[in-house]
Amino acid sequence: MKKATYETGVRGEEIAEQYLRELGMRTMERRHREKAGEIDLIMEDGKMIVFIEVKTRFSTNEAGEGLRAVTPAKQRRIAKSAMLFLQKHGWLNRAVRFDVIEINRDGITHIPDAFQPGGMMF
Amino acid sequence: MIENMAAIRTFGLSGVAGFPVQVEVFSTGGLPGLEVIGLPDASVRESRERVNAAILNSGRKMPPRRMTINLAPADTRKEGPSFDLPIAIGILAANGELLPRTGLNIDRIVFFGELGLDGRLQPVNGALSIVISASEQGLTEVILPADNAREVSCIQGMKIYPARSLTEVIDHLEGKAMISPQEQQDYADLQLQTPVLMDLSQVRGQQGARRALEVAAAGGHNMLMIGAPGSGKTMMARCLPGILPPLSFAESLETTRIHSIAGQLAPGSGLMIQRPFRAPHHSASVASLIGGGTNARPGEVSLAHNGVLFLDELPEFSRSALESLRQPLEDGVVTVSRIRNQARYQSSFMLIAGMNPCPCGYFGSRQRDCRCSPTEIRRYLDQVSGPLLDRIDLQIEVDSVPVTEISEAPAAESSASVAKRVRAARKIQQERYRGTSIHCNARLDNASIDEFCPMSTETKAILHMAVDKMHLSMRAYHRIIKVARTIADMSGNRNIGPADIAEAVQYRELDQKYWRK
Repeated sequence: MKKATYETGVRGEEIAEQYLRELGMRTMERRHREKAGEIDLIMEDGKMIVFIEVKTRFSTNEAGEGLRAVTPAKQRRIAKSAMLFLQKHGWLNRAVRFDVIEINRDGITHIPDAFQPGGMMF
Repeated sequence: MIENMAAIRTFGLSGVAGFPVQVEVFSTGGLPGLEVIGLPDASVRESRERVNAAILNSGRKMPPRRMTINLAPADTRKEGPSFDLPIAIGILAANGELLPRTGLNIDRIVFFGELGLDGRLQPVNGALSIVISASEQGLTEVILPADNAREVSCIQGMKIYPARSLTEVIDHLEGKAMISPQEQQDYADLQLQTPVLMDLSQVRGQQGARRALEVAAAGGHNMLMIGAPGSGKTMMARCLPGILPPLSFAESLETTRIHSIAGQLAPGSGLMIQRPFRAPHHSASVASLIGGGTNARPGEVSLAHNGVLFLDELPEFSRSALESLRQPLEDGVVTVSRIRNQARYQSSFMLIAGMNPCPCGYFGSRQRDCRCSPTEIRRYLDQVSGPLLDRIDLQIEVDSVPVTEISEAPAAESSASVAKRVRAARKIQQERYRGTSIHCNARLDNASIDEFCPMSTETKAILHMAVDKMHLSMRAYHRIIKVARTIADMSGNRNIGPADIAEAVQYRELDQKYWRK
């Protein structure tokens, strides 16, 4: 990955974390790595564990550009990593949610409960 | 209307009939995406991608929202790409990307058409059925692909807006650039351009066969021609549409609808003005003749509705294919049943069959010797079953005309002048059968034969003698009377005379000669 791209991502994630903290959520982990892939942010909203995918597009103010990048395949990858994370901590019966945050030149779009991985995963 | 919601009118197709479909679009927050529900088939589900590209390429934005598209009623299967346009309009309307001009009631407009990725509107199958159904529902405004406009331009009382692209439709709805409505066409004007493809004047000699063809046309009778290769059977058959009376408006609608559904109309073509002439190859399957496929598509018998079904090399057709013709021949309709669909198609056609007298083709020919053994001939002829033969009113032998005779023969009578006589004979029939469901002599049912075919005792005696001598079946007996009725009509006689019976009987002699040896 190009260094600049990585830095853009990290900046976006910082903005997102700041934003969610203001909403009252607590940070559990940043850029959590699993074999299946990385989860940008893991936070707690009350008792609920929230896995957050952050999409940063400073190059545009076109809404939805970043959101559309969270394809079904990407969603499955995030869900798988989340599953491994929960297993590791023995939290398999806790309530969880998947959010997507888009950051572009116009600001922040937060989609709580953006997708629900179905089937065998949960 | 609820905000974030839009409902657009369109029609789906089931057999030859259209049924109303509401394209409901609901737009919510969430990850952007498009889901189509309401029993769409693969081609409808794929419309997501076409609509997406078409909207972007029309200079509009695809709203970054989650959209659910429901095709109501949700329990009927939807197929085909004609839902592209209503889905695209629904998406734009539900998200406030389309602002209809004031006073425009988008709810009363019917939309249909396939979208290209570049936003162009492509013609779809079944446009005529959709517009007829819309008109039956009291809807009067339709926006459709420009290439479908001519097909529907004869329907009375409709405002048809032909559009070439999604942009044109949007501009029309927003009032930026209005599409001028398609001019209504009169069916009578269309008919003036009837081209006759094959003319009887090109058929030299063959006096007997020409006469039989005229009788067949005058009464709508089925006909079988037996003759050596190259004797002109196919040519004669091809002349038939040119001497049949022109398609009436109602007939044209029926036939065009079937062709439109089957995708057999060329883009941009209008109502059919020529009677269809269908000549399926003898390898045709039952499904291709009768109709079938997963979606119960119409077959050759329905494509030949109100026209001619020509089966050349009759014995080469599979036995099951030939037997499957019995129901449509008798009833004039076929019911095609498939797992997912059932459809009834009209199939009232004239069957014209051609065959060789034996496998080598030259049995009884003056030109060449036949090389076939009696068993071979028998086996060949037996491919054509008795019940099928029974349903063919006229059977004639077509003999090759020697080349010298062809080049010396004067130009024969043209199709136009034969057609005039045929029309006169048909007119007599129409008047006689007014108020009944019968429209030509061939369709007379046995119950009404006595009423419409009066004969003197002398005439009857001749008929009975012939039937007795030829061991004819009851069905054949009735068929002879019907043919005699036509012959009498051709000479303008109210009653059937002995000469009419004699000629009709003569068209029955071949199953004696070939099949009852």
